[in-house]
Amino acid sequence: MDNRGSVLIYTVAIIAVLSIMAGVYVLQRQIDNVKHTTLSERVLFYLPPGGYVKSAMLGFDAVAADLLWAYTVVSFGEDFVKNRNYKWLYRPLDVITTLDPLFEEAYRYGGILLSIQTQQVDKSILLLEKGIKNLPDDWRLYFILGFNYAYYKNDDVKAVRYFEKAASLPGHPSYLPRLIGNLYAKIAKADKANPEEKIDLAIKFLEEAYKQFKDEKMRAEIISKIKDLLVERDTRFLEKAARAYKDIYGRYPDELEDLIRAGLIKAIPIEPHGGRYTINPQAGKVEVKHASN
Amino acid sequence: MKVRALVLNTFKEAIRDKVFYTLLLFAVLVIIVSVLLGGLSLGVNEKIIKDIGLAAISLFGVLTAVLVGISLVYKEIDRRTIYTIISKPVHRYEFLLSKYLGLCLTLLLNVTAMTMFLFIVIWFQGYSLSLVLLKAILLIFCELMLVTAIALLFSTFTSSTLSAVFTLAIYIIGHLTTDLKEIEQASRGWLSRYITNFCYYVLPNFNNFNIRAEVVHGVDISGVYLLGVITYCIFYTAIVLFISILSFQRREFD
Amino acid sequence: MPAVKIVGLTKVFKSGVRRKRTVALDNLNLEVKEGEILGYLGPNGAGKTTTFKILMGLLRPTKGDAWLLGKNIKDISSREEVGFLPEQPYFYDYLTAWELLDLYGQFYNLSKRKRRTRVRELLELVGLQDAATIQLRKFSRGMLQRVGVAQALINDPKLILLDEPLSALDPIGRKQIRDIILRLKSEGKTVIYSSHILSDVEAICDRVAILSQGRLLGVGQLSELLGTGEQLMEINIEGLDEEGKAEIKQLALENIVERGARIIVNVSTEEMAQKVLEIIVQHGAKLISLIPRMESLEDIFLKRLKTGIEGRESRDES
Repeated sequence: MDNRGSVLIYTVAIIAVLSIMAGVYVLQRQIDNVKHTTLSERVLFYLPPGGYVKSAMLGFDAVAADLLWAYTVVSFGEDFVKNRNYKWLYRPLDVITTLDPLFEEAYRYGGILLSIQTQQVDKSILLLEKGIKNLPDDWRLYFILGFNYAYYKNDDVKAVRYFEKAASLPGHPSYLPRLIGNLYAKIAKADKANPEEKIDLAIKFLEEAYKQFKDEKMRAEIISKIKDLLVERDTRFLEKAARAYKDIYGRYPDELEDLIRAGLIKAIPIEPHGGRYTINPQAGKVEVKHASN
Repeated sequence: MKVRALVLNTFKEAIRDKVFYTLLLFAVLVIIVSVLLGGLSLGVNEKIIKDIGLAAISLFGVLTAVLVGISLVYKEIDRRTIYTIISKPVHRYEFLLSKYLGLCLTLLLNVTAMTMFLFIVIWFQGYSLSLVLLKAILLIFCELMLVTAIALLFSTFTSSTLSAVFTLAIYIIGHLTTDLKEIEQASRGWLSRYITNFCYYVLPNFNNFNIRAEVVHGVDISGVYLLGVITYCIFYTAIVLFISILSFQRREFD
Repeated sequence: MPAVKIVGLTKVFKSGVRRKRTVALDNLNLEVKEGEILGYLGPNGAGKTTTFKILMGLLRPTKGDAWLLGKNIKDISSREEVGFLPEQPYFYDYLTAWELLDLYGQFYNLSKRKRRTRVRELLELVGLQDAATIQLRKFSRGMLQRVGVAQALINDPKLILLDEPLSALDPIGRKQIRDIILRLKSEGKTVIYSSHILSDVEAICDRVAILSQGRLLGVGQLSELLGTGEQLMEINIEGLDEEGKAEIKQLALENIVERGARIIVNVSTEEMAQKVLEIIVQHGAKLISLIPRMESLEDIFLKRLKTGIEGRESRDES
């Protein structure tokens, strides 16, 4: 009687404990849904300056940098999906590169994330300048800097300087010398780069960036940006042709095919997202019509 | 022969200590976790595994040196097993140095085991097994020898808890003195500058032993630097052991 | 040459924040002859263990000096031919009896072959040959004590110091150790062992040194030191009322023991006996017995500790 009794009690106890554990799991998921996990954003934004963190790490700086990097990357990924609020991004990157000044990926990816992904160009430049101080032989850092100055800052002089340095280091892409040549020509003529050239530069840069990132999500992001830039380039191209049409015929074309018939363009560019380009004849503005419209 | 007998005896006692095995196990777990962590981080897997691997060897090495080292001497005195040994024709310094060497032997085993595990993991993941890593591990071992000597010194005259606290405190301060010195250089107060300089040179500077970050990035370490740090370690350890012998010589067992 | 010579040995302990002074040994002078068995006797806390610790280098004397087999205790070689068993010994408990003795043998630079024979001999001597491969952590107190004796003899010493060697043993064990001590004497060795139990010391010691509160009260034959005891009469009373008890107490006798309804009283003179008998009759109590007996050695010892011993100083004897 005793034996059977205690077996029964044990069984009941185990079932009870398992149920409670399941309950804990369910509760945790509920809590996560309600609570806004912007904790990471706050923690990372309010990190103390790198110097203090380094001292506190007692010789485990490199590991701290790695862990912080993992945390930052994951937080960035989450933020991308939810909030799109990236103001916190610079501080952790700065701390990481103070903890481990030779952390190449932090400078490189950080630089790209700060400029292209989140439009914080000045911060990107700050980070990269720190990068080239510690890693003076990495062409990619100079390249990103050059891009920042050329595309965002409209400072061709500085851009050329950085591109030249990148071209002098091993591993640089082959189109760099030509790019530099073009920019030189611009400066000589004191000519500002026209928008199409800037877009071309950006697309080239993003192609390069695409090669750097192996991560699927990042690559998807970059492709999306390239597509946006392609749309912009095509739009400008078509609108320019439309204006040329107006100069000849006194009005904007009714449809884009008219431009082909007028011999102004060879073909209508394919819309990269799968929609198609149309023109608004009144204003001469080119729009994109998506497949669903 | 006496020394050899005591050294081997200390070694055997140390590797029976549960703490020894627990710490070794934790180090292994940490290295395994690092492999999982690598997947999260946008392509720095190799760096993470090496960084965490070296950090684990260092951290768990220090903990082993402190926890096992201290309990070894203090346990003897507290449990009075020392009575039947000191009353034999064994010099006190022979006893102490044998304990120290036994501990170093234990740490050698500890570090070798962890290193082999780390290398297997690195090889399994398909990353480069550069021998530069061994330079960092060599300096980690030197660091451990110094920490052990300090732990031994404290356990000749204080209880095991206090010894552990003091040793860890010196370990922490020893890492901070470099930063302290830099901060104080900027300050105008001559007294604080004098004090921080004094601390910097007198207290052990554990930063010297830390070439782990450079090694993982593939930066080569000059033989001159290595030689310098190893010599620093030998000198400093000799001083600490000397003071330990003096302290132990004066010790009364009642 | 005396086996042990102690001159003016003093040990003062300073403890606590206020440096409270405790005098453990006060100007001890003692010589032990070669080949004799000396009993070191005294109540707990007398300073017996302190003496041994100083001789073996575990403590440093505050004042004074000592020599073992002619060598000063400051010289580590003075311990080459000495064996020591501390009180309540502790050993590395993960070792077996065999391994421990082997390890200690290495401290005397004994060769492997020599160690093997010696360890086997010793284990047989103390009766532990069957427990040789058991870890010491599994040993009883008595077994540990015997290992202790064995390790004290590992180097075949000429002088052996044993601190409370009989304390944890049963009667058989005690006999064994006593036999070992006698055997050591027959081999020409000198043995000093301490105890706080008189009978342990009485039987086999050549001489006894009595220590109390750090001072040597006397050295010599035990019977001579203590003198003869008094003739006492033990009176056994039953059923004495409270008034009667009060009157007995007024007689100020040395010891009065109450056991339930009975009272036992010891008197040393006939007059006193008479007075007690009168009280019994007056209060209508019952006399159970009246027995003459000698004062026991322990009684004498305790009495003398209080009043001091007039014994001969050891110096006079050499």
